[in-house]
Amino acid sequence: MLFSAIVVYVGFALLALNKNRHLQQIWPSRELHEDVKLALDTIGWLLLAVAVVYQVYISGFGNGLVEYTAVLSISGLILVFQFSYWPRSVLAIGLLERVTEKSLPTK
Amino acid sequence: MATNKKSSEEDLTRYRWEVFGRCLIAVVGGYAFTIALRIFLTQALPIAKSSAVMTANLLSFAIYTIAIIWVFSVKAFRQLWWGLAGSTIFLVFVLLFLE
Amino acid sequence: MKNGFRQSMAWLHTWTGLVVGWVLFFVFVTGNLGRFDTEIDQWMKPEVIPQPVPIAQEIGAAQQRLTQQAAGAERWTIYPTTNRDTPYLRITWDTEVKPGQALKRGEEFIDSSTATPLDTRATGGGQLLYKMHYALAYMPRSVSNWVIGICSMFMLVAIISGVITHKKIFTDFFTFRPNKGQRSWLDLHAVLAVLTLPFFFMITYTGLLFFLSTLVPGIVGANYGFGEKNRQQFNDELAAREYKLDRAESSAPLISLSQLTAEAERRWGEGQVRTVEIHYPGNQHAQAVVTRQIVSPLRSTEELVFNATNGELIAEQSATTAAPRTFYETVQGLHESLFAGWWLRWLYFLSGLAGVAIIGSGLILWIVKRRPKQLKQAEGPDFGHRLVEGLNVGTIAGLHIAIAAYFFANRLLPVDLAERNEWEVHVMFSVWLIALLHPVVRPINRAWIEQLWVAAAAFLLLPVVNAVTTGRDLIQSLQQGDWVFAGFDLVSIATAILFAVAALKLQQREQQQASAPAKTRVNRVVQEASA
Repeated sequence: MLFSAIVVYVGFALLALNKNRHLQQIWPSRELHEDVKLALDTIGWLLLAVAVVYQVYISGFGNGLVEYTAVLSISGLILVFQFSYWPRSVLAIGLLERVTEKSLPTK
Repeated sequence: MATNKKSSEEDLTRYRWEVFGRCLIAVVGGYAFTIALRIFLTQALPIAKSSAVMTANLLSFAIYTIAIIWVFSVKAFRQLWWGLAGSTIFLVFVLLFLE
Repeated sequence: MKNGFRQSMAWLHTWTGLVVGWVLFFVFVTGNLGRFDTEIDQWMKPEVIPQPVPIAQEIGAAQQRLTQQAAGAERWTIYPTTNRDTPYLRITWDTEVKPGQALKRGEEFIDSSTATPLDTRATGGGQLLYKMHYALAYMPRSVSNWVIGICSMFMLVAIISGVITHKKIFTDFFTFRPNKGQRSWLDLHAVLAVLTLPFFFMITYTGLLFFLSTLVPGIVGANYGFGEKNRQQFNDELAAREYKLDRAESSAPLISLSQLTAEAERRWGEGQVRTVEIHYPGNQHAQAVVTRQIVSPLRSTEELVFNATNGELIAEQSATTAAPRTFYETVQGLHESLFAGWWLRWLYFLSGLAGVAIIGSGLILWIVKRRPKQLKQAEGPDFGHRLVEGLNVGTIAGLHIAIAAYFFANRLLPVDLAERNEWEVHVMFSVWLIALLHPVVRPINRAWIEQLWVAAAAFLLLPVVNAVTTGRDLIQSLQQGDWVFAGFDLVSIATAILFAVAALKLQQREQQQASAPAKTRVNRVVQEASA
């Protein structure tokens, strides 16, 4: 459950960063290269798929899908709060940037 | 000026009647259509009778919803009548034919 | 209709949502509390603390009581406390009133050490609160079934047309813009709806399925004939209950039922028995059906069917039957969430809260959108506008005050009051009525603020009143690990904080609005002076 929650959260976050509106909430006036966007999109959806397979595998079909749906709602809700009130906390990006002393998306 | 106002009032009255008419068709017509399609399903599905009844039961609200959405999405009023009446009659005929 | 598919769907969404919004709000709030119905039951019967008792003793006590109480019944059902949904041993019996009509049900909670009814205050408990979400109150089921059924149908149409209208919500998936008036309300409405759409759709559709035989009767009738008996035959056929017998002429004594549950536990493991059902007790053809615990959304479970006069195993029913029935039982199980452990139950509760917020924000949106134009009118807002505003206050804030009142009534009404359980409900609905009328005599902003404060105060007081009347205060509950009482207190306090924050925000906005014109006047003076 926690594992799928994390996987779904990362997947959702990547899919969100794929959208300029959300990307620019973190880095104003930046745009990603088309290739990077495609990669984010693919990995994002892949992670969502991985989580559903994993959850069904450990909890069975009925319970697994219910838990997966719950995980989707919760992860999504957390992301909505983060983007609305503290965008730099998404994926702990602010922290990562401080540690690496780099702005992550390079043009 | 005066005629303009009058015609817009007429438009409004016509609009209100249309809304009323559509609600009526959606609720009553859609319901009749749903029942007809369900009875059709219970007769037509090639599975055990109890299963066919249950399947029709499960689908009924989906059918009703689609019918309602359709009633409110069709532009021309006349098209609507034909669509609903036609499909209901068609189902009844098929049913009679099946029996 | 209006031009374009999207516009007509927006129209449909607005009006189907508005017309039934308040009823749906009530249904969602009470239904959502129903996720914790048995916990609320325990809170409302503070005299009796559930104790673990061996199942054999429970079944024995239940059998003893049922034999005294309902010897000639068509069916008995025993719910031992292995079942999460019955904190107390519960029995029901169904008796035939007239041939061909629905059976009449009796119900009791039993003290398994004495085989007598549980000695506790008369209360509707959490069960009643939960029942209100599909049966409402003060009306027969034949009426409430139609009311709720039609409202749910509206809701289904509102969901579908809403998704079509706000197609953009899927692209704006994570977007919520706070403190922007109408924009924020729309964002909140849309974001929560998208995030919980599977839950929302499931709960509405399956909710409707519960009313199948009311809303769209005749399909079963057309195929099986009408009446209770034919419906039963349809159900039996669908569930493949081939073992069923008709009542025999001769009678025979029942065997000791605890023998059967022992056999079931031997096969399934300890604590696996969910219910015991006896058909035609005392008859030659008496049968006992022992059902297993629900562990997945599929709410039909394995069953062992015994001859109840000699204990012989007649049939082993599997949990799954014909595909349409298995599907039906799965989605209905999803609605009821009987399988959910505590954390999944909380997620259900949170999703339900999201549902409450979606409906509430939708109702508020209707007002927020129309308010500027309405306020400009020389004669003030229309009656319809004021009505919606008033109902919004009286429902969104008022219903919660009423529910708090229901809990207060449970603690404060005298224990020996006649029809005490009914008075709890009377108190609840009287308070709600007052809350609905209050906006008539107060300016709408004031009405909001006052009711929100009352709600906050009420929920803050609940733990206090509980501590004074039962002596089981929050600190003690926490220390003893009594999560039913501690949870109730904590949720109550959280609710109070939520309402207080809402009230404070509204108050702030009112002050800003009051001081805004003054500020612009000062600015003008300053500008003129500088010029």
